[in-house]
Amino acid sequence: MKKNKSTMTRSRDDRKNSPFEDRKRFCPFSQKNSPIIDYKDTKLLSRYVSEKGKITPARISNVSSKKQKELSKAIKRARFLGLMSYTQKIF
Amino acid sequence: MNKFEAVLLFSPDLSNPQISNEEKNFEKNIKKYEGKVISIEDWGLRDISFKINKYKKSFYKFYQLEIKGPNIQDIKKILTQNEKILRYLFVKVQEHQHLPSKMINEEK
Repeated sequence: MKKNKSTMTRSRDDRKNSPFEDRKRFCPFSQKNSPIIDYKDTKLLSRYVSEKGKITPARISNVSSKKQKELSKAIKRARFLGLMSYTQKIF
Repeated sequence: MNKFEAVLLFSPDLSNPQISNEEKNFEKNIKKYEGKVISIEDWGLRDISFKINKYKKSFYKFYQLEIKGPNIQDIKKILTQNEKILRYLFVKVQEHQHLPSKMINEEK
């Protein structure tokens, strides 16, 4: 048991010093001064769309699941109105 | 009574008096179904990012409304029969935003 404990602490220290330590990342929409998600704000929405026009997954953009639902809905509304493209193809 | 936002896309073939005529028609319909138009915003002639009914451009109009939800169904029926309107979108909101909306700020 004692040995186990010591290894645990050591591993924690290792993680602190390692270059691969993952920093705490925050949802860009859940902060105090964060922007409001709106289907009319295409400049904001275009940041969360890939080059091909796909919606970026939440695990990459780090948006919380609640806000990701709002975001995807807003993007789909903007697409329906022709404000954003479904694909990157330019007609 | 609930708060709604509406966006209408008019076909680019229309002349200015025709567009204002269509707008008046829409506002009349809303009054007919016991609604209120609170504010209007004109986004002007914009490029559509894909073709709708073979049109590349369209006149955008943005409305803030106050109306009973079920009555929107009837208004939608009228809008679909109108060929001069390419598309429409109704969205229910908790509170109306302050105008001008972000769409206009971007262009400036």
